[in-house]
Amino acid sequence: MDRRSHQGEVSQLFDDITSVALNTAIAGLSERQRVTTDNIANLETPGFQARAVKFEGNLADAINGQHPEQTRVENLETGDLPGQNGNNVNLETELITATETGLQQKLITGTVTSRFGWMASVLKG
Amino acid sequence: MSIPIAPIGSIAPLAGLGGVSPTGYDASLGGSAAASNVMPVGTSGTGADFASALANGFDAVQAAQTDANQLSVQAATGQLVDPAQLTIATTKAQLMTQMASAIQSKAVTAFNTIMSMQA
Amino acid sequence: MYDAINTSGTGLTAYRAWIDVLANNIANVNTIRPTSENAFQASYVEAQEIGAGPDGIGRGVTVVDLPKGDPAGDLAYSPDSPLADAEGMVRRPDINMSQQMGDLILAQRAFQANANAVERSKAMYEAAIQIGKGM
Repeated sequence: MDRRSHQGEVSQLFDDITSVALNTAIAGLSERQRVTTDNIANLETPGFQARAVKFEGNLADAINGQHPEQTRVENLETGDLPGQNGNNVNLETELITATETGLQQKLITGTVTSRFGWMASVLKG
Repeated sequence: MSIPIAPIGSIAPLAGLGGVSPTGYDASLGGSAAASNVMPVGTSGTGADFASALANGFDAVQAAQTDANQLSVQAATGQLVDPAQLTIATTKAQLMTQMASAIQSKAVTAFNTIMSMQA
Repeated sequence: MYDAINTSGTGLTAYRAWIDVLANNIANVNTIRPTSENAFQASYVEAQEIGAGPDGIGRGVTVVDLPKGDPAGDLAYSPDSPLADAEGMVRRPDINMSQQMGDLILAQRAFQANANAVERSKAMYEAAIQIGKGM
């Protein structure tokens, strides 16, 4: 029996659209948290341009096209208007983003854990 | 709000043995349309209905898992309005999978016990 | 997702804008201009509700405009001022200090209320996310 083909079958268990979507979301959310923390740290830096991470729309499109693993996680400038010293970080927006990203991370990682739980109870028999 | 957890429905009686009926089953307990909440009642009679009852039960588990998967994708793409829907669906799928696994192993054990009974 | 938090976030942004505007007005309460120019004009915040989403629930508030106050101001007699005209008159801004301070308290309280709403909503979402954990 070809060992390589069996490895392919096993990894397909974890390559379904839902698993890939959840893993992409985890990566995107982690990037978003990093960027938000960076924005808040640079609240008073003159001339600093705030950035935002965008991936949910790309993920939805990629899923519709049956290629969820090809989702782009984008890190773009917000383009908000700058304040007095050329800094355009909006503190309330960043705090709200940080709060929501934290909640979403808990939700998604909890879902990933639960899904592994299904497989575990099937394997235990 | 209570989590709608499906009680175990009637188990089809094996030949010569009585089946088990639930009491006070409330068919109006909520849940998604996709997942049937009930382990279906087999008709009385032979062991073949036991197998079909098991198969239908697994369909219900599959439906619950599919429901949870769909809600997971909605959450990953940021389109899910109520996170509680996802956690409830995930919990339900987990419980139904565990229950199906437990019932399957008990059924196999019972079958083996019966098959090993010598005249 | 997390609409309750987003909506409260719009409130935070709007009330922060109001506080910024009030702070500027109060800082310039004594800014004098010659009678040949307009007085310093107080700014106001014009806010509008954001319409309802598909579930019929509103989505918060947004600042649509920052209109300015009366350009005529108050004429005051101040002959020693370097900006005084031939009759010794200057233009003072038309800013009522007690009203500005009252508004400042309103804005700060409203900001606080929205921040509290964010905390309550966050606790609710966390409870939803906890369902089924540790099974």
